[in-house]
Amino acid sequence: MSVNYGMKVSQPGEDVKTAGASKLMFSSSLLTNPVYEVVDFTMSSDPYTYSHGLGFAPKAWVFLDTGTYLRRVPYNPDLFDTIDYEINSTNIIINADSGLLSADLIIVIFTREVTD
Amino acid sequence: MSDYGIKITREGVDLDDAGINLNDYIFHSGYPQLNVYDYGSFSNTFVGGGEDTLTISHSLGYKPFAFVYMQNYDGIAGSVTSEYYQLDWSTYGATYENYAVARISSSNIVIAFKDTNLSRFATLDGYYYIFYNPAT
Repeated sequence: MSVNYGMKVSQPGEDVKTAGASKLMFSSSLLTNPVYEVVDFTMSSDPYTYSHGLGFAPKAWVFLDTGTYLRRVPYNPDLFDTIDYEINSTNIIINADSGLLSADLIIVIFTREVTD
Repeated sequence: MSDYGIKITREGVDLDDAGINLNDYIFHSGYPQLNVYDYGSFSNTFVGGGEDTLTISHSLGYKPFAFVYMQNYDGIAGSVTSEYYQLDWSTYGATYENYAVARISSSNIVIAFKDTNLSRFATLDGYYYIFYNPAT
């Protein structure tokens, strides 16, 4: 006999037995996006390569830290400067124009593969 | 000291599989979820020409991860878009600037909009999501 095991946690006020996916705080049948690591660094080369060591291409967010503000990357503050990134199974590669070559960045790397 | 924790794999993957990797877990107590601190919607009238801003406050005391999605003013059509665009975005020309950005500080998110081709004002709707930083 096939048994369907699993676990669900609903939001307050929602019946876990009938709640739709958007009303669940957790479900073992829905993919989550756990954080693998949060990395702070200053670019020291262009492109700058960060090796994540996961063996698959993970989802990742990159933010530029101006000191006062965080700004989402890709970041394009003016007509001349852009910073963006690419992800593969071994690295996250940051590409920056001349005005952003020493940028302070924060990468949020998830345990989830980009294809999921 | 014992190493306690909870691991839940995705359907069809056995916890004891030799080839299991982090992508196979639905939940792993060694890796935190990115929890939402606050989220909401807004509708703000931005004055055209120069930069105009809307400030959303938070009390985290550090610069959190955040995302903002907002409508844009389509200068060619002369109307507000039905679509929402993730900030930051920008277009620059020799004689114009058009951008919508989110500046995330330790106390607020400043949503700034500028369209030098917009002569009056535009009311733009949007949504924001602020996340805790598990490393803080």
